[in-house]
Amino acid sequence: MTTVTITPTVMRTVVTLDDSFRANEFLTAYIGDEPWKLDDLVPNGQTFRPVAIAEDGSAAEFDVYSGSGWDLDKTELPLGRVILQRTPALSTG
Amino acid sequence: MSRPRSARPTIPLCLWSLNREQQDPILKAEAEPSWRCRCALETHATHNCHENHREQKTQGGRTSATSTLRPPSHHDRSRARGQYRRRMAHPQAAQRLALRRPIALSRRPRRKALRSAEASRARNMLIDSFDNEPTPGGQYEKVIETDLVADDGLPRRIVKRFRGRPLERVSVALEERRDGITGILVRYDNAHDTFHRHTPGWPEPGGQDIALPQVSRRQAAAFAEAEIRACYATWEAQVFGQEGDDLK
Repeated sequence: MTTVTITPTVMRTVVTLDDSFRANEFLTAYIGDEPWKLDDLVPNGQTFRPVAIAEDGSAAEFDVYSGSGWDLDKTELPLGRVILQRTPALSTG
Repeated sequence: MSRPRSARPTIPLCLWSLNREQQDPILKAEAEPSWRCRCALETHATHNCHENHREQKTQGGRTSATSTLRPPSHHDRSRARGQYRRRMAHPQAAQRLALRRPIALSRRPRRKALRSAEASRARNMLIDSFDNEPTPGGQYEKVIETDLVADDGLPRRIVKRFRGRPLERVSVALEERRDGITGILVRYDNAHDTFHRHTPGWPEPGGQDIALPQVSRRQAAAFAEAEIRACYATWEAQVFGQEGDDLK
């Protein structure tokens, strides 16, 4: 499990769908035109679930689970955690 | 046939493995995959050749160089079965064999359980999937699912599909699960040389495509996601306004 970046920011828990979308933008920005970059971040066959975003919108935190989201047992513990930070290069604007 | 580096040549491989295994459980696990009979027909787990060798050893010390160096043929299998049947007819021998047999038999359920656990996990992996869509032709796609936290309790996820390397096609869909049905509320796709949006629908998006300005794949994915986010509430009201009440 690789953790990208990390600048301490004030994070708050993702509680609404809008928060999820906001966090998901970080993933899109990280993937860009090279989705296989994700293989470097986490092993294949895992699902992200946004858990927190920074108050200033500069970072998002994801729990990583094994397998697909629909089939995921809600009691299953996450395999790890990934934090993505928005940088000028990754920003989608 | 693979022979361990430190195997002694005067002792058959299977016998050596058995002795070492009984001493060390780690070696037992390591030696398991390399168990292959010299006749190279079947593994020892199914062949029962080691049973035959073990019986040879117990029968009056028949572990001489001539007997042990002779490669066991598959005829030994039927001989071993015959010995097994004869011994089972004798109560004391049957008792001894009953103590021995679980050593070999107990491996099989463990392997099966492991395989089934791996298989069930593999079924859940949707990251690399094969899309056999007829028009552009089948190809592997990288699928990235992101579960969304929903305050209304409905499980939702954004499913991004990336095809080709370098990237040829991007598809972004918002999926929901209602009453046990997985549906795609809306889907963006840049297939057929156009970046388009399928009209919202349930459980499949509508057939009508709305062409959008042609942009790069990355921008398309970002735009689709941003638009889903911005317009989701409106679409949901339109699509599920009346029908949603019926569904619930």
